[in-house]
Amino acid sequence: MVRTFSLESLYEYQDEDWIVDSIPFVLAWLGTTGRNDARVDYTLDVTLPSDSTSQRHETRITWNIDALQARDKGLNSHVSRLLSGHSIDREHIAENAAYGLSLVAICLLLPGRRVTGMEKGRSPDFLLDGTTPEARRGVEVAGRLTGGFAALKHVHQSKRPALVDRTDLVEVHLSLWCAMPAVAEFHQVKP
Amino acid sequence: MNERDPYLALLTQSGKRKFKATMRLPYGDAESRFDAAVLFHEAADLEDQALSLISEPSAEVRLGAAIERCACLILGLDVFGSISAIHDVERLSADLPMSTANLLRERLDPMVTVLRRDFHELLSKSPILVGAAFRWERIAHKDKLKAREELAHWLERFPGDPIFYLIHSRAAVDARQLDEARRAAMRAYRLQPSNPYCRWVQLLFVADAMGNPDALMSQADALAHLTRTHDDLLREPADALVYLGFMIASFAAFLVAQVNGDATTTYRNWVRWAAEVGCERPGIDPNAPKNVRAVGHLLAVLLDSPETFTTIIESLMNVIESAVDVRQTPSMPNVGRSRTPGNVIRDMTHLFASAAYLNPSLDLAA
Repeated sequence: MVRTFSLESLYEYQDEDWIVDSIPFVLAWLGTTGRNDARVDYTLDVTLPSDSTSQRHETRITWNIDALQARDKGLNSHVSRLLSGHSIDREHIAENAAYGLSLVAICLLLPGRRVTGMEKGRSPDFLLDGTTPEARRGVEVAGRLTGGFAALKHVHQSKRPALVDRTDLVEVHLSLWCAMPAVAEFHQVKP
Repeated sequence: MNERDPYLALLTQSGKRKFKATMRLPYGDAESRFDAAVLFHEAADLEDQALSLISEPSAEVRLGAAIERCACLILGLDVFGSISAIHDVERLSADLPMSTANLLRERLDPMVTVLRRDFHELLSKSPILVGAAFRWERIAHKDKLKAREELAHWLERFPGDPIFYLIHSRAAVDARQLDEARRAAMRAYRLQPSNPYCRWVQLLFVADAMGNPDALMSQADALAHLTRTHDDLLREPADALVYLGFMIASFAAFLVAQVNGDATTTYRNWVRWAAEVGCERPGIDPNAPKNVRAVGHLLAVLLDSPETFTTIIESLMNVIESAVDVRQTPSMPNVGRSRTPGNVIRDMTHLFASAAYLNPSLDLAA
């Protein structure tokens, strides 16, 4: 079964501030898959506490450009700037698009949970509701332009040990995205 | 803990700024980098505020907040702010087992390594600025062009460090490029609006904008800034330097209002109030309270006979201009130009901005 998620519906589930600036990166990233038909099919490997093993889901991400532009008048020009790439670091597009796509994953896989913060100096990138000073909850994010599941597995293995060992983290998920091929992983690392 | 919890609310505000800044940086142009730097500085301040709401935070929580603040300043392209924050991280790391501190610092440490490498590289390429300890007034006239080139490299790599804008502003004052000086001062202020030096320099150029409004700051903007500062000072007393700036800007507002035939009572009262309160305040510059008293006395007299001010300013400008190498300053004012409030205020701005004892240089980073 293919699950479908429209980018514009992100606004129903998360605060606008987390969405509006990341959408241009998501569209620029999805553009790198060579598709122009307002949808991309992602293969998403998911492990949640309820799963004994990793499950593979087909996820269709769609978007309605008019609906997105209603939220951000400068959307087209931002995407054009990113795609023209004169002064843009391509790796940054991957990283920032992964934030936007992780919001999609949170809405799909952790229904009802809300992003409440962001960390830059330490993991995880997104903080989730329920975080306290001594007990942090969040989602660690990474994006890769190429490499598929093999590249994501490498990221997973490099990030997981430190996240598990951190005593201040009581709940962590890994959200990893690759543009070509369009594959992703979302794993609950802790508890 | 829910979203209405004040700690979490501040964390969310900080996080949103970090997120927006992260999304701005990749565009790569100077404005985007500067906007991102401002957002990261705001986030760093919010991290501090969030920590202050926790009663008796654990060593781990304190280190975590210091790491986050440090990362914001590194990503905010502020080298001296980062260096100070790195010292905090190192000090707080000592309160925890090394393995715990290392785990928390796993993401930060590589960022610190890159920052230190770039910092030392730029230091090695800045013999003139380093030789003068980044104090503009200590640089020989013949070296100033080269020093400005060195400064441009620092601003290119670290456009989020307010100190480089303050030095740039000072350099522009020397070259009589007061519009450029004002632009640089405004950038320093946007990055660190609570810093007394940034507030002082900003107020000086707010005074300038009263008589010389432009696209960057209209007269209405300048008056709004002055009013806001008055309210802030009533709510939270500040460094003596801030009162000095407020007093000068209020006096400029008084001069403009008088020429326009507008009410002057408010500005007259503000000058007197700032002189009275400011000289009792501590100063980041130890001379500041003394300067507030001296300038306060002078302005108190001039409030009653502002035409005397023009004469004094003209005399002082003659002294300053005779000390400046005119070959280096082709934009020197025309002798005998008419004395409008605008150019009287501009000369006043130039006088105060030129005062060596009011220069921040590296003191800001200390």
